Amino acid sequence: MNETAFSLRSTDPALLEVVDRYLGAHAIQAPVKGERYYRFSADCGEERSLPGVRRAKRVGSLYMNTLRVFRVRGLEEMAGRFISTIRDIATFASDEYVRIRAGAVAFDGRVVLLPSPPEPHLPALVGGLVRTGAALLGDEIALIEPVLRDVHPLGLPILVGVEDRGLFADVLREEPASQRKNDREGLEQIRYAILAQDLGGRVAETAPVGWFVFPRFELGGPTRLEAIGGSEALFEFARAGLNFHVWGERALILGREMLASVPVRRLRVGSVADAVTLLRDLDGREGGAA
Amino acid sequence: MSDRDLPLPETVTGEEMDPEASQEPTDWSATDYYGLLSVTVTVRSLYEPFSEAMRWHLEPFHRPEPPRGTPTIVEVWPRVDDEGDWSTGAWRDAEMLVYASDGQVQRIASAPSILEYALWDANAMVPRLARDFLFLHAGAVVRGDRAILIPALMDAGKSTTVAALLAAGFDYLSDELGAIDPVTSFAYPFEKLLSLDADAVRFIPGLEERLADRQGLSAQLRQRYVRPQDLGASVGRAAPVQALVFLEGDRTGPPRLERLSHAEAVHRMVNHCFNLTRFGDRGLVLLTRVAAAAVYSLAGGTPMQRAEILANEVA
Repeated sequence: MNETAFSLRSTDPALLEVVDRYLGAHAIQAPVKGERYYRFSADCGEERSLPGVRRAKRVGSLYMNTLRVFRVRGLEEMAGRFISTIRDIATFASDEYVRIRAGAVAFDGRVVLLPSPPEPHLPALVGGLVRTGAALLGDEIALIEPVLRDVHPLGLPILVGVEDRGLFADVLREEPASQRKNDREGLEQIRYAILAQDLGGRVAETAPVGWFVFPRFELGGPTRLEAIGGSEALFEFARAGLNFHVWGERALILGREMLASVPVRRLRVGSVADAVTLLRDLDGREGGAA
Repeated sequence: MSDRDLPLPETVTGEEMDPEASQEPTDWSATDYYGLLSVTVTVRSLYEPFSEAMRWHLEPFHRPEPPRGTPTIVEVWPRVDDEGDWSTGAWRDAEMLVYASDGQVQRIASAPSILEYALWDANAMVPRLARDFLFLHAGAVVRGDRAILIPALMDAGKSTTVAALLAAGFDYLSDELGAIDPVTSFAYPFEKLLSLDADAVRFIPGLEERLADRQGLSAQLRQRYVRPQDLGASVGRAAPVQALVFLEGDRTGPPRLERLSHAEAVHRMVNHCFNLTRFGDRGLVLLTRVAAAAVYSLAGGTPMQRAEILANEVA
């Protein structure tokens, strides 16, 4: 991916099968000379039976070279954290794109871009949109190509957070491990991978931006679309920047011009399901890109 | 389409790759940080004259602290035949330097040759590593808010023409790398010192007296290095490309400026791109936008005559 190669070896071959299901399209025989190359090793742990418990989740560790990057319970957690880690590494150097933290889906070939500060519920919103027919470009990272200003797909699965697991219980096979905060380190980092096709959707082609929607998650509150001023929208765009240290003022020029060319909204998200409904109907309400 | 490297000057000599002969030190007497557009470089050295010379040559890019990003690590140390030379101090008498980049020994040569190689390498890694610009092998100057890009092959006279334009009142963007921003299509400054052949200095009246490059290790380099202020110029700001001027290799006769079509400009620029393959089709779109400028070819003339005709008829 992006001139970066990864290898994964595992104490349990079943993990490789799980990972292959999500990343099989990216599989290579060997790194190409000149590529960055990262070696991962997974110690998947042993299954244990404890008194009063049907079967304890295996506690495993994932290592990058000799550095342990996290501990997880179960193969799906291991796969999710592995994909999350290599996604961040592979996209870190992709400075040919203006990279922002954003969900991105396409309806009828036009992208709804959802720039956001770090937000664990964003992938769930993207997953919900894919389930209703949107095509997937990215769940937490969007790649904006600066010449033609369209959005390129990441080609990776959606990685939903542990709190939103219940919204996708029908497609997540492995039973959840303990989610008590005092029982787990890095609970908020846990991710579960879901393919677009598991949700009845697909991965999008490169596509132009049709809408900017800035989500603000206030779960339990009302869900509604609101107008957002140009300055505030540009500020939110800047907050979502991931490689603006490379692009500098040019990223803001790009953001300003893109924001001026399509409809822009604030989305208050009280409920992910309601937000999906609102965004699904964007096309009819806005009549396509301005 | 193929990517190109900056051509290595013929003056750079020395052994290539002899890692067996190099014992690497663990402590450095000088560590400097540079940011060349979005490319970051850390230079560590055990040879202070080398570090001093690099600071002077790369002064526009020097940073007091490590810039954000993953740096290329350049290391230079005296070549020793015996690891014991580090403890006895015999390494201080070593005649050859070792140059390594990201842990790989690239060259073992005399100090001036290593300096020349290091300067070439620092400039060459920019189009190789930076992904946020499309790079042309081109000089670039600006007056007001309008830039002139001057693509040309090696030894066609880019640097001397740029020097003459600076002497004629233009501000400086680069003598070798035309950095095109994909967002705005503007030409951006890559303000490395101008590098002139020693016998080209005479083309710019009064320049020799203003040069400050003959000091320390730099005094032993064959090329002459010119700061914009040596020509009474400043580093310019990013600007839209008003004109593209392709320098022809033919320097005989009076200067001859001819108009070219925009399509011809795109065709020619493709051949001068360093990193077009990284951009693919959208790189061609970007070149098409740049080619919307007025397009010329320029042959013949001395550097001062070329600058005069460009100042009067193009700018």
